[in-house]
Amino acid sequence: MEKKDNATLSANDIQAAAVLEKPESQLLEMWRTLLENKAAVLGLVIIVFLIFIAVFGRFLMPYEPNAADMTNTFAKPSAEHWFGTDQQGRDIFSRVIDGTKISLRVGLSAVAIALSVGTVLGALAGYYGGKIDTIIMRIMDIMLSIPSILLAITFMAALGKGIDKAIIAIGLVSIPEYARIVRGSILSIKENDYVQAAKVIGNKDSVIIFKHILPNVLSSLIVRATLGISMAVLDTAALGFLGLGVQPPYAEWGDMLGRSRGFIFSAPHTLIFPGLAITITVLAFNLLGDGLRDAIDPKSRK
Amino acid sequence: MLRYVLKRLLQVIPVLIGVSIIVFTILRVFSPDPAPVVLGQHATAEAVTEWRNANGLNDPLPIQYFNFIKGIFTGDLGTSYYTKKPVLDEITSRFPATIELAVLATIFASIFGILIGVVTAVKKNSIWDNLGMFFALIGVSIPIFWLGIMLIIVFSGTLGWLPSGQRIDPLLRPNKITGLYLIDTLLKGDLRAFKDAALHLVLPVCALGMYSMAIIARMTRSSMLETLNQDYIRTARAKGVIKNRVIIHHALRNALIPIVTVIGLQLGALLGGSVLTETVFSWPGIGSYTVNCILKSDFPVVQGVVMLIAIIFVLMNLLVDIIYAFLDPRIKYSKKEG
Repeated sequence: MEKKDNATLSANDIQAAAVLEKPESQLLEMWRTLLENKAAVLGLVIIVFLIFIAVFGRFLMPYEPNAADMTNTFAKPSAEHWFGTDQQGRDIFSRVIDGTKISLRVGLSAVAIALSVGTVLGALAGYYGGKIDTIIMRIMDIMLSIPSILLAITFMAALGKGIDKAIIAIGLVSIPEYARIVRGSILSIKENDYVQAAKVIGNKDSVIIFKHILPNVLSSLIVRATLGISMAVLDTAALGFLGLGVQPPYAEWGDMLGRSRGFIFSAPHTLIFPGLAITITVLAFNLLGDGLRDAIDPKSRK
Repeated sequence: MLRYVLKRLLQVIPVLIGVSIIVFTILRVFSPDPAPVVLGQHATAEAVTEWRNANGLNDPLPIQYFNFIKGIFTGDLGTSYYTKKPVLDEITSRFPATIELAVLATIFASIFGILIGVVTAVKKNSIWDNLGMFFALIGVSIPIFWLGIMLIIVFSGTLGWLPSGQRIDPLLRPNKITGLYLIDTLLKGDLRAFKDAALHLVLPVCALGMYSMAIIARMTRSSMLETLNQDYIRTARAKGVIKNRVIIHHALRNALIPIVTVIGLQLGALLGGSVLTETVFSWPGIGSYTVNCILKSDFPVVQGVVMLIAIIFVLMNLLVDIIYAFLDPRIKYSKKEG
C-alpha cells in the first residue's frame, strides 16, 4: 500500500513538473528572444498597427468606402483623395482601410479553422497510430497533392462565393500542414516517461493529449500559424482577384485589384495601393513568423 | 534501386484514387447544379432534365464516378458543357502554354535562387546578405498577381519595353509542332518569331518564378551555411584550394540535396500559381482557362485539369524522391536494410 502511494506521488510530481515548467517558461523564453530580433519586432509593430486600423478604421476613413461618385472617377492621388478614386469614384484610401478588417478576419478565421481541425486530426493520428493514423494521414497526403490555390478555388466552386465560404475554403486547404506538425511532435513525445506516467495513473486519453502532450507542440504551432496567416491573407487576395472570393459591397484588396485590372494603363494608381496593403500585411506576418521560428529553434538563427 | 522506384510508384496509386474521389465529391456532390448556369436562368424544367440526362448527371453517383475513372484510363474525360469539345482536347491544346511558362519559371527561379542563396551564405552578415535576404522576404510576401500587374505597369506601360500579355504577335504564330513556341519557332528557323515569343515570356516568367526563387534562395542559404561549417570544407581551404572552387565543388555540391527537393516541390506551387499569372497576362494556358470554367460551372473541364495537375505533382514528388535516393546513397541503403 505504502509502495503504491509512492508511485502515485512520483507520477503526480512528474505530471506537475511537466505542466508547470515546460510550456510557460518555453513561451516566455521564446518571447524574450523574439524581442531581441529587430525584424520580428518590426513585423509585430506592423501587425499591431494593422489591428488598430481594422478596429478603428471607420473613424479614420475620410469617405464612406462604398459611396460611388460617378462625377469623380479615376481621380489621381491628391490631397483630397490620398490614393485617388476608382472606376466608380470611390475613395481608394478609405477602401484600403476598410479592406484591412476583411483580410485580417479571413486570415485569422481560416487559420483558426485549420489549426483546430488540423490539431485534432494530427493528435488522433499520432496518439492512436495504426489504422486511424493511416486513414487520416493518407487523406492529408491526398490534399497536399493538389496545389493549395487550385484546391481552394475548387472548393469555392462548390461552396459559392462570399466571405464565409472563402474562410472555409482557405481553412480547409491548410489543415494538412497542422495535422503533420502535431502528429510528428506527438510521435516523438508520446514515449516520454512523463506521458507514460500520466497514462499509468489512469488519465483519460483526451487529458493526456491536451494537457501533457499538446503544450509541447504549442511553440511550433504558433510559428506555423503565424506564417499560416500570411498564406491565408495571400490566398484570400488571390480568390478575390479571380472573382471567386469576397464579393461586393465589401472592399476586399484582392477583389479591388481584380476589378481595376482592366484599367491597368489608363489608371494604374487604382492598382498600386491595394496590392501594397496585401504585401505589407503578408510581410509583417512573415517577419514575425520567421522571428518566432528562430526564437524556438536556435539552429536556424543567423 | 529498381525495387525502391517500383515501391514508390505503387504508393502513388492510392493517392491518385484519393484525389479523384475528393475532386469528384467536391464538384459532383457538393456543388450546386450547373444546369441553370449553363442553360441560363430561364431554361424550362424539361430542357434542364434533358441536358442533365445528356451529360449523365442524372445517373446514380457511383455510376458517375465509375464513368469518370474509366474516362481517365481511356482518355475520355467527357465534353465541355459549352464548347462540346472533348475535355482532353481542350486541355492538351492549352497545356503547352502552361508548361512553357512553368518550366522557364522553374529554371529562372533555380538559377537566381541558388545564386542569391550562395552569395548570401558566403558573404554572411554582409550588406549583400541582408539585401539578398530582404529580396527573398519580399519574394515570399508579394502576391504573384500584383507583382505581375506592377511589372506590366512599369515595363509595358511606362517604359514600353515588353508586351503586356498573350504569347506571341498573332501574325508570327508558328504552326503547332510541340506547342512550345520557343521550340517551334526555332525548328522553323523563324528568329523574329522566336524573339517575339521570348519577349512575351519575360514578364510572366519573372512574376511566376519570383516566389519559388525566394524559397530556393532561403533554402540554399541555410543549406550552404550548414555545409560551409563542415570539417571537409575547412580541410579543403587549409589545403589551399581556391576559394571559389571550394564553394562550388565542395560546398554547393553537398548542399544541393535539399535544394533539389525544394525545386521539385516548387513545381506544384508553380502550376498553382499559373492560375493567377495566366489570368494577369491573358496567357492562353490551362490556368486561366480553369478559372473561367469554374466561374461558368464547366465541371468536366475542372475535374480533368485538377486530376492532371495532381498527377503531374505526385509524379514530380516521386521523381524528387528518386533523384534524392541517387544523390544520397544513405537513403537507398536504409531502404535495403529495412
